[in-house]
Amino acid sequence: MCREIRDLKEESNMHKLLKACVISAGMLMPGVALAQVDYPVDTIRLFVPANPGGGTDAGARLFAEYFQKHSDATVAIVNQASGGGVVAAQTVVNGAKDGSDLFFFHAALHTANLFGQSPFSWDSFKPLATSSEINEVYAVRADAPFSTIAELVAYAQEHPDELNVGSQLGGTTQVKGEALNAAAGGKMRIVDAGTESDRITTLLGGQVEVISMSVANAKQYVADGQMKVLALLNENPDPLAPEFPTTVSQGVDISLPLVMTIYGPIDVDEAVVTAFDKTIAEMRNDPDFAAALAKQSQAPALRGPAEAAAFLEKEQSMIAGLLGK
Amino acid sequence: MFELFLGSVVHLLEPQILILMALGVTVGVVFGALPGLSATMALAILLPVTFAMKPDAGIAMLVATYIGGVSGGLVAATLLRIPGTPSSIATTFDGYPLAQKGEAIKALATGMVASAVGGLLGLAVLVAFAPIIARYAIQFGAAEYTSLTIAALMLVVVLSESNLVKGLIAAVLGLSISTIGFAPIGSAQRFSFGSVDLLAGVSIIPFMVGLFAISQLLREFTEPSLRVKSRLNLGGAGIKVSEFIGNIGNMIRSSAIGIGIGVLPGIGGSAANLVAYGAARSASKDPEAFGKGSVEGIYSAESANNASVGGALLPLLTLGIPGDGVTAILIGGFTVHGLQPGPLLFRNEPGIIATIYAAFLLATIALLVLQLATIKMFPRVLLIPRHYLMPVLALLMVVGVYVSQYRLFEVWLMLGFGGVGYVLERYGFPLGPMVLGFVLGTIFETNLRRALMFSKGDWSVFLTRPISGVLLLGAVLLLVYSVTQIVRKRRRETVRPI
Repeated sequence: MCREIRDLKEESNMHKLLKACVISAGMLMPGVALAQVDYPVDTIRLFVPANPGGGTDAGARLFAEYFQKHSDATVAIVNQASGGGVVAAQTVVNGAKDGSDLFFFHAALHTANLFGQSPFSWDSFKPLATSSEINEVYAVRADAPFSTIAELVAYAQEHPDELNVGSQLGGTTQVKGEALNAAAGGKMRIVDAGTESDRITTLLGGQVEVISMSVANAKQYVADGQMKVLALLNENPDPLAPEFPTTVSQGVDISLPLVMTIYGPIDVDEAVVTAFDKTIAEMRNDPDFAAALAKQSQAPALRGPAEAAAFLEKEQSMIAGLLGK
Repeated sequence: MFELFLGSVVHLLEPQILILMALGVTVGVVFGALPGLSATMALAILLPVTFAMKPDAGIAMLVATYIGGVSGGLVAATLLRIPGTPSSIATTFDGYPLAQKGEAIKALATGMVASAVGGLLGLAVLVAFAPIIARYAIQFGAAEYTSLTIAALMLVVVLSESNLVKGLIAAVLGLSISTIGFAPIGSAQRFSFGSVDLLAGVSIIPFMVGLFAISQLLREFTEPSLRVKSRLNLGGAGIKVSEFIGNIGNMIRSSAIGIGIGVLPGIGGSAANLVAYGAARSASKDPEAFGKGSVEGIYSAESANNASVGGALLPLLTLGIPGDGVTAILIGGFTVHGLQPGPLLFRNEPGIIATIYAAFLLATIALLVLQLATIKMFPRVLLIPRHYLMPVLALLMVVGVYVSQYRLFEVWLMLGFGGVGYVLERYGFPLGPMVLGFVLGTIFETNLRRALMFSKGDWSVFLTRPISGVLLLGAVLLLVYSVTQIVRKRRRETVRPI
């Protein structure tokens, strides 16, 4: 047993030596960027509980690309969508603690746990970073008799139980629906309308009156004259859509951008945490990262390990509060 | 639009882009042909490759891969009775028996031509009516989906050939398996027995590969005397013009079903081929020939699955709404190339829309040419000794199913369903209804619950919403028709001996 550990150590020393050689060789070459942080392992498997193509996957792929640029590790994305993230979470919770198995997700981790759909919460992991965020809005059909949150609330008071808020029950959008309903004194009904694509068709098809959806999609439907945006779910306006008024400016105290978070196993090596701290600092100074994110309608939200943990604690308690749990 | 379309066709004829598209089609066909690997995976793998390309080249390649992936299932389904993708399940019903009769070339050629016709019909509808159909597709709410799935499940009766009871048992089994894991709405855990792996539910890939491919391997091993390889005739005639003309009506109906199912987000091509096959069987003058190598069956299944591609692209381009897993990845590809699929795409980027249409057309033609040019090669697969071929296939299935979710549990599921499929077939339970029940189960449950939520628990919505009412009526008529057919047949059979 002891010998094995020593062998492993020797092996990793060898790796470091090799890396040092490669890096010093790099230094001799002109024009090679050298701000690369030394990461404890060569390859990271980043488990993403979403299928390729969506916002979460895009966020993970961009994070991977820029993490590779600023560290000496290679990041491979592993899409494990089944069970709404439970399977991917389990893989990482039981994964290697040398930093080679990491988990990428957002606030749906809190909701799944609070609704009893997953035994894993944010503190089952070691938070390592947050990378980017996607803003969402409350949208209604263009012909709706309300254009602001206040008008919606007034309408809901006059017509109790008539307005349907389309959410994905058990997901983060249910929290958003509950928050809006709380503002309206509970006079609306929260119904299931599935994923964002489903919610859009359900809204346009006239089966629900309010949905939450991403800024990128909302901009298109507003420009096409099919929808109106009541509010952006954030305290600060979205730089990509400054025309949407925020919830906070309309007196509704809910700020819930979808923040992409990277976790490691709870007992991950300290070296991984240090490496993340340094790499995130490097990524913060890279203007290309923000530009690449903007193309996917995401904004940078870089936080290192300590900041990320503080943020997640706040995010989780806010969601738990809204759900009364 | 038409002028732009022609312009794009000419533009895509650049040798560089043509090569990329041919590559895309080939990768798609290979992924489609191998059980466990799917069009979704082919796109996921090629997507990062297109990042560095110019948008039109990248998008053309992705569209070509999609079309190749949907069609690739044909060859393995016909020759080995192993559907490479869920969209070619119904092809095994008649393609394989026909190939076993020594008409492999005819079976393949029929499928290839039907694919091309279905693809082109789908494209024509997409080009001509996209914005109009999209407006109506939105009106399709939860109540309508519920009634549609009921009507489609009624086709189970038609699909279950002679034995209605066994067909229904298989369908209910499929429905039950789709309920494993979390309920689609809320957080009820069902049949998970405390296992996190089962909480995730059963996904279509291990289910389908196990049921159709693994069970076929088991059959090959346990019944070695069934086929005598050396006498297999690899030649055989191609397609007959008279048959093609006779099946024009069949192809139009099947393509219409394919487009219709493709347009509705969520159902996708895996159901289209089975539903079209069922419809073709009930409309046929010779339903008894179905399942025994009927050309009609091949025409319907293969035209429906390719037509569903045109259908699925419709809500994607007009509304930015993906119909299935493949189109969801395509959306990702489009956004990477700076396109935001949605209601504005048509107005702001007509050039890109024209490029997509042109790529669709060229890929369909390229696919037909490639397949017909290589048609003589495929049946040689049957000459490979089984002790080489089967282990290779088994290996590919295990790898393919593993990479679909990167977890070993899926492989165990696949092997389990292989055993289930083998036993069911042995005792005469048809597998088609089981797959349809599985695919439609979740859609039915989700929409039933949503419809009742929207209506505050009032069941009458299913009858009062007009489209839903008509669909339910259709379902009842289908059931009555099938039952009377069966009763009449029984009567004939009991009368005859006297």
